Amino acid sequence: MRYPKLIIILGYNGTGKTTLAKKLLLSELKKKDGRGLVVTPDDIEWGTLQEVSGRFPDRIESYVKARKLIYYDGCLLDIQNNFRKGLLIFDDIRAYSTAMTPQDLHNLLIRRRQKEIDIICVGHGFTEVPPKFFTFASEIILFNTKDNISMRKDVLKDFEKMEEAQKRVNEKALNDPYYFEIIKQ
Amino acid sequence: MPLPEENKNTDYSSDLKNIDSLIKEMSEAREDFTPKTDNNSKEIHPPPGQQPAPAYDPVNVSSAPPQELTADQKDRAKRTGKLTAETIDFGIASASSLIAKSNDIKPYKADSEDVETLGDAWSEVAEVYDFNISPWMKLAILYPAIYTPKLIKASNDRRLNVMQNKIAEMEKRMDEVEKEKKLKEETLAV
Repeated sequence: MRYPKLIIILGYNGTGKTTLAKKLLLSELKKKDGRGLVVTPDDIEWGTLQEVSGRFPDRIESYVKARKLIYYDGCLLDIQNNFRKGLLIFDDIRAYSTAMTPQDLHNLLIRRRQKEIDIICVGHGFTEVPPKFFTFASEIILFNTKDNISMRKDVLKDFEKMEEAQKRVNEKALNDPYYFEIIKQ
Repeated sequence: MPLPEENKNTDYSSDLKNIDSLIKEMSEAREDFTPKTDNNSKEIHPPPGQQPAPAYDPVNVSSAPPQELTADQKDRAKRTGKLTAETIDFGIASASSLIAKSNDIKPYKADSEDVETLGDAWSEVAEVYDFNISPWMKLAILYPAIYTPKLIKASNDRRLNVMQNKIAEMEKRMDEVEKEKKLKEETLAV
């Protein structure tokens, strides 16, 4: 038995962060009764997944395997009320991070243990992910990103360690665009 | 259901060891928070002379565990309550108009104040029991409630129209016969 994970994946377009998120989702789906819900701003990246319509969020709890949910206002509350025991992925969070209600996000993150939900947040850079995610993050997976890390100084548990990791990853990414490091929080 | 495809071209040459251990870690079961019922637990009796603790009574809200409802949940409960009260009122009024063989359901509908009171009562039920009507269910209830009386009225109108057409046809025929009769009489007179 383990505590639910909250993983942040950061990196520019084409570095492989969504592919990595898919890999983690596949691992969840290999479990008996494994389920995943991908919150996405559009239909592009997760085209093969069946969509949970925002108008029928009560169906979320009735399925196994994976579904996608195109972000709509109020979906955080619906997810909190209807999604349990699975992997929740916020893909390309920059597209809707400003629309997220802070209170709903806070409630979702603090209740993930009781709801038995692992959360993965995929973003392009530090400033595009709401600070609340960093407060609760268990791992940060860092791909090439030159985003201003100092904007999240207050919420990163070890800022210096993260700053060094970012420099290291960006240097390595010059030769290997898919290079990443996992930094435990 | 098709699974998301993995991009085989992406070569993770970097933190493979750690990603494998992360996947392994995530494949472990999460802490289980499902409420468990222990059938083997011994029944606890109150000390002699004392009343047993009252059981949870969902109707008596004051004895229920305190639950903070969000503004959105309250709003949803209110809308559900209003819709339930209006739908039931519409259904009963429709049934009453059918019994009375009347096409007008207005006399059988409750006053708007009464419907509002009933709506508030249903909202409370929706809040306590987290009772929610899905949009499909709303449509499934509203369509028959709205259109059944109209279909019955249409069926009645059809019968009435057929009869009116027949009467008109007969009147026309009678006029023609009358004209023919008049013409015959005039011809005979000449």
